[in-house]
Amino acid sequence: MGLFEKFESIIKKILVPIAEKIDKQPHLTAVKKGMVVLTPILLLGSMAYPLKTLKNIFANSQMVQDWFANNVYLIDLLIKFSLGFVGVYAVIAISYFLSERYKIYTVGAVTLSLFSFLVTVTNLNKDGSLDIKYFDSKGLFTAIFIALITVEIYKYFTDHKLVIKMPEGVPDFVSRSFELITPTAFIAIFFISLRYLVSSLSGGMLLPEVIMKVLAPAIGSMDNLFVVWFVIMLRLMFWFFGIHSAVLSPVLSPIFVQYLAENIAAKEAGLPLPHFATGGVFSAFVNFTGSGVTMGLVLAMLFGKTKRYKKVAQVSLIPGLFGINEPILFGGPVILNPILFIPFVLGSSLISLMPLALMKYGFLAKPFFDPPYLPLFFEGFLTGFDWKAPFIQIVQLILSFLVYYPFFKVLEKEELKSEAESKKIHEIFTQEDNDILEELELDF
Amino acid sequence: MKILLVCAGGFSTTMMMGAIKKVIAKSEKLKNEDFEPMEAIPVDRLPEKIGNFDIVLVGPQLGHKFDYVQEVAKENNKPSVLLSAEIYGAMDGATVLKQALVAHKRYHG
Repeated sequence: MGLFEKFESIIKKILVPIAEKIDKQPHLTAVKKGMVVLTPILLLGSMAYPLKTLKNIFANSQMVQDWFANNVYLIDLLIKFSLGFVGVYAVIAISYFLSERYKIYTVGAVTLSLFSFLVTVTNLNKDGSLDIKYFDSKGLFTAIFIALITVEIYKYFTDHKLVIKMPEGVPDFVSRSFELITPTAFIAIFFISLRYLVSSLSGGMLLPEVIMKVLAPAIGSMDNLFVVWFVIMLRLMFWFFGIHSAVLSPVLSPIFVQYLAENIAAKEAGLPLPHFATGGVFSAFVNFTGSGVTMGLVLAMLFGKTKRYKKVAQVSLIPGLFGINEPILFGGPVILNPILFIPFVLGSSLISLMPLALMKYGFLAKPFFDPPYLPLFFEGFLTGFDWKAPFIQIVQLILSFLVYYPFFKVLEKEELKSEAESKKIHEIFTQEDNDILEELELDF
Repeated sequence: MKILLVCAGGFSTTMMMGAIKKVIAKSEKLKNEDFEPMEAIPVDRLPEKIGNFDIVLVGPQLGHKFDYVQEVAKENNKPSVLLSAEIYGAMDGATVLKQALVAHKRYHG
């Protein structure tokens, strides 16, 4: 066994089971799916700032100024009920997905989870109004915990038949609501007690405050360039072994959501933005032209001498402009290709990290917008509305070419040697398959 | 035969779907309407969608999840095929369509 094969088999033994475990783990899966549901909410919240800048763009128009003076609350409502309620939406989405997975009564589980969240994070003011400041991203991690715990409790009650069962013949919706009585009572007592306990042990703090204090080092770590570099390389390692890097998103997405919300709030308040790592930045800069910044490799192949690589490059070019690079990853292939390990994992991770470092040290605007999937350059520009972003991405592109080119030359040399021998795609089909194909008399 | 393509986000399988549709359009033997609807979706939506389709094709980046896909497909009595990296990378719609036709035929005898 060669050195690379040894290395490959060791890493595979570690990474593949991890990926499988994460993907099958019900709580992590529910969090991951729940975070995806927040995408439109975040997009709405992100829109608010660009909308408000219209006021400055049309500074000379009295009509626009008047409109803003009277109606700016409409935009504020948009922010309040998107970013200001992110925790609420997270509870709903996550408890939905977990209860769906457990095949328990979803509406009941979602309702109860929302109740648990509200009762744990809301404060009653003296005048009877509600203090809901933890409905926003400050309550996001609390929302995750509460949704998971509530659904677990509910499931426990259902599994152990600790529910009031109606006799046969009672309409389904009636017996459903009776089933809810015991878990509801328990959950209400549990979370009210938890709230009381947290408050008396911490000198009057609410659960979200405590959770944020405890998690602060972990959450804050994504502000550190070395940690982010490690995360980028880990993602690339997963990809290198053919595993979609989304397996890491249960951990990353909540942090990204919180960072984005905090940056938007800072932008609104005219303060310096605190964070550089958001989902938008990962999509636009870290995964520029796809995970591993593979466009340089595509270009090297496009202008190379071998038919096979030219063809792969042609297929990969356009999707690459949109940040989709499965064709080159699998077609090159980059995946499990020992020659490309160094440029793909090590080289490209530094290219990915470069714009983030520039953001950290103030040369590039920090993000306050999570743009939808857009082609080359637009997405990067939109994260922070910085005209320097497209130029930085051009530099990324050039670096990508320089990093991949020498390694591609090695591949090309080998390919030129073997190009004479035709590749056998037929291996996919067995003799029996071929008989079926013949029977079908296809014309392609 | 209604084909459902599955990957992580439904992006790259959308390309594959385009490649397959091109082959069907070109072919005189196969009729477009026999393959309607065809859809590319994220794997998370498989259980909700599978009922309306005849076969599930899986992108190679979900190889680690193929067990799960097979399980869901089996529950619904549908065949499933894990596409090979080489063919997927080349976006070879013709070979994938052949694989789908063969798998479908084999599954239903």
